[in-house]
Amino acid sequence: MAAPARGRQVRRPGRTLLLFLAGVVAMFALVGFIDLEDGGGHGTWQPRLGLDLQGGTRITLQAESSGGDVTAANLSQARDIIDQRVNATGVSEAEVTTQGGNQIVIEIPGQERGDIVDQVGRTAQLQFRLVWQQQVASTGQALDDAAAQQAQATVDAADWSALSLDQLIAGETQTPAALPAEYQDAVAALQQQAQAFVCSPGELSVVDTPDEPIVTCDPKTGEVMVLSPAVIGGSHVKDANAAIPQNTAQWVVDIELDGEGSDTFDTVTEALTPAQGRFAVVLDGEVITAPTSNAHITNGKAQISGSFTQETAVDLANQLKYGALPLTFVVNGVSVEGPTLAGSQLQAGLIAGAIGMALVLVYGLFYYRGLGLVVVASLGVAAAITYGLVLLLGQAMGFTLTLPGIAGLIVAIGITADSFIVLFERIRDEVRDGKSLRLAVEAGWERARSTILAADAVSFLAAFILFIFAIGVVRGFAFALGLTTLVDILVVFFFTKPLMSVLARTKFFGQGHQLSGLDAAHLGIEGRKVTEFATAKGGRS
Amino acid sequence: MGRLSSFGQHLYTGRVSFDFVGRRLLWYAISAVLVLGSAAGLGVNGLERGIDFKGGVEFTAQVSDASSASVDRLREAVIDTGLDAASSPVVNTSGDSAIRVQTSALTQDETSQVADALASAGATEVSQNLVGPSWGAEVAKKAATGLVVFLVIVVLFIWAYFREWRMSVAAMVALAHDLVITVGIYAWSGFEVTPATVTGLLTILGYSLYDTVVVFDKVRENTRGITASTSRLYAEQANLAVNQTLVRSINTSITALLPVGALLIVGVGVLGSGPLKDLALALFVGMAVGTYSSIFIATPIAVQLKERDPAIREHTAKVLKRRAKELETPDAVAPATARPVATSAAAGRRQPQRSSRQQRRGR
Repeated sequence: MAAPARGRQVRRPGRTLLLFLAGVVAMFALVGFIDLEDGGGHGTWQPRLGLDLQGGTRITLQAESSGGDVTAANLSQARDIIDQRVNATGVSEAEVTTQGGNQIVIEIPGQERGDIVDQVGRTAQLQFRLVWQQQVASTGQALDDAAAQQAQATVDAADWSALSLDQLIAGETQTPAALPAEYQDAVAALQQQAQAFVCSPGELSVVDTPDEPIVTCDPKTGEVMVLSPAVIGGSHVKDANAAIPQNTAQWVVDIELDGEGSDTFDTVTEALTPAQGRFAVVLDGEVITAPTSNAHITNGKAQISGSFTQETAVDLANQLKYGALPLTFVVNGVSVEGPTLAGSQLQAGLIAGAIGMALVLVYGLFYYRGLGLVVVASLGVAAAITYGLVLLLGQAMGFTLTLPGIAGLIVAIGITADSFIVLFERIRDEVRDGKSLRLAVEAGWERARSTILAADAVSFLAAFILFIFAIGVVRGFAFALGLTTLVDILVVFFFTKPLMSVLARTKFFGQGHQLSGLDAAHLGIEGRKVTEFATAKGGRS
Repeated sequence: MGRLSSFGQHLYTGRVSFDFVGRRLLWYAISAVLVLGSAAGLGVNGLERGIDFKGGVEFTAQVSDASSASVDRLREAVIDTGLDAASSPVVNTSGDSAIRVQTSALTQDETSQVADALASAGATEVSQNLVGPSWGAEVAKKAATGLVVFLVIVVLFIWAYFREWRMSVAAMVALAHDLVITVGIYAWSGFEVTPATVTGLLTILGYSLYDTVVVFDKVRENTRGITASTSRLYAEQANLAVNQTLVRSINTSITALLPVGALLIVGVGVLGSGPLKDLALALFVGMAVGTYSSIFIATPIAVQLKERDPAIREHTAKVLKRRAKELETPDAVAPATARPVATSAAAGRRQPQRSSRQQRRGR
């Protein structure tokens, strides 16, 4: 719009056009090339479809702020753990992502697996504890409420965090009576709890406080134990695997602890091994295994053996490995879409897109006649670029096209067409103002350019912010809208405008043929041809 | 179309002019009625919240023939599961080969139970959507945050682009206007509000502002250096801008509404109710209101604010004085020039020579 630009406006529009088209071709070549590289599981020229278009399961878990600090780091750690848990259930190709700052989304394309939700979202707390007292003979008579409360209060009253690791170990190797005198009341209370403990599988509701001793049992064997405060937290487990060692026929579970866990384990096994002491692995207050320490482990690599079957060994390994989530999650949504529904959604999206595009093209041709062809060509190019980008982004960063995404693309047809309309109207304004057509194209562009940029900037901002703050499928919509806004700018600058400049030099458009949409009658100017300047200026002052 | 083009030409030169700016009180009144009506609708009816905002489970069962008979059959099947939460399901057809069943919150096991019941009652495929009670609230919360951030950034953007806070304010008023009326239409019509509707609403924000920016850009162009001239008023130039962009506004609205309309019709026709319909409906309503507001609300407000600017007020007074003087010379046409400066001069007062030319040409 500014005057100084006038000097550099009539350059070689033909060359710009060719370069632009070459760029588009290059992009498609890149799409083909990338696919050759990775061997491509899905069809190269088909976009990756979202769950709503191909069927599948989507599970949304939301972190509860009461269950710990919801930070990006915590969420990302939880995401990793859940990802592993999902894989452990045997579901392949699942995608686990974080979204909206407090949610984790599990997407399983093509499979209807709503059933895994309870397994993967569970916030299990895994702890390693020392066995202070084993095989407690339980009376099976639960304490009455008042007595249970008093016993728990006594346990809570003691300052367990003041005990050193060695003191905790002494509690096992020399019985809890070896603990300092001020703990003896609490120890008595623990014993009282243990004798009254009822071990009923599936109904255990032990409050698993990591820094206090607890009384619990192994539901598989029914053995009741008094356990020390946690010595190693589940997050120190680096790896755990079920395996059958060479020359044996028994399944075992290999575990590997990280540095800190490994140091503690070193001390613990050193002290326990001579006495054939045990430690317990407790998950959510339930003893999942309580092996005897058979060797002094210095490198943090231990092996748990016992009468494992393959199934129980794998289960234990998974529990050890993926035991603790740093956050508590609630199930926010589980959607399972079958392939028929997904197919009809895809079909509906495509039909709507085709009809929408056709209507806009027909209207463009009807109103702008010859210029309508420019609309057709520009929208065609915009559609091709958008499609190419969807393919490219699908391959490069896993962008999937969802139903709202398709809706976004369809809505964008109107916004893209509007850029052409703004340009055409500006050009016509300039002609009405008395300029010859060729000059009007350039002058109209100068004015239209900033309008288009400003309007597209607002539209892009809207899409961008929607993308940042939206959750769920809305993001697909926002992404599509933002993408097409950028494509729109590209097309207007490097395709539509140069095309107009080229066309203005042709006889059909430049001379204002009556079907060109630029003829005098159509523009509503009188008394001169569009190739001429007006002698007196029109209505503008 | 030729007629619309020369109509466009007439609009451009000002030969045909609609007094958008001058009759602003009329537009304000119309909008005030609409806004109040919307607020009343919201108060009286409230919004019909979809399952995403209430929590529950929605099943979509594919059947060979979605009829009232199959609806009844599936309803019975769901009730026969004996689950409390599924004792009064909402069942209706969705398109011609799917039936939608909504129940209250179920556990995953209960969900499978209902899905099995549907399958044994003749559904060939059962899709489920289990929504936790906090999901909708979460969507709404995020949307609200996004809305606030968006508004702040856009106010700054428009202010920076036009170097004019008044235009920011006017655009925001138009935006609020669009949102309230769209929400009001939802309240009165009882259309379901789902996350897709919220998306649609947020998109309207972008669209409404997009439209306003295009009109404002022309206003700015027309009023550049206006204080140096004594022949035109700010209000007149702004009104001319709206008229000049009117053809564009009409064309843009048509091209924007065509695809959205296609989305709406196909969404309802093929899928029945669902995200496609919700989104398209919100967009359709919002875009229509948005076009109205950028012409009838945004520009008049911008002009009204601008006229309080001392420089413009002074300029307006100067122009009016000059016109009054001209009118004292022989063939005076109109009386209206003696208006006090404080009330703004309406844009539609055409200059004498222009209106006489118009008469000469017989329109």
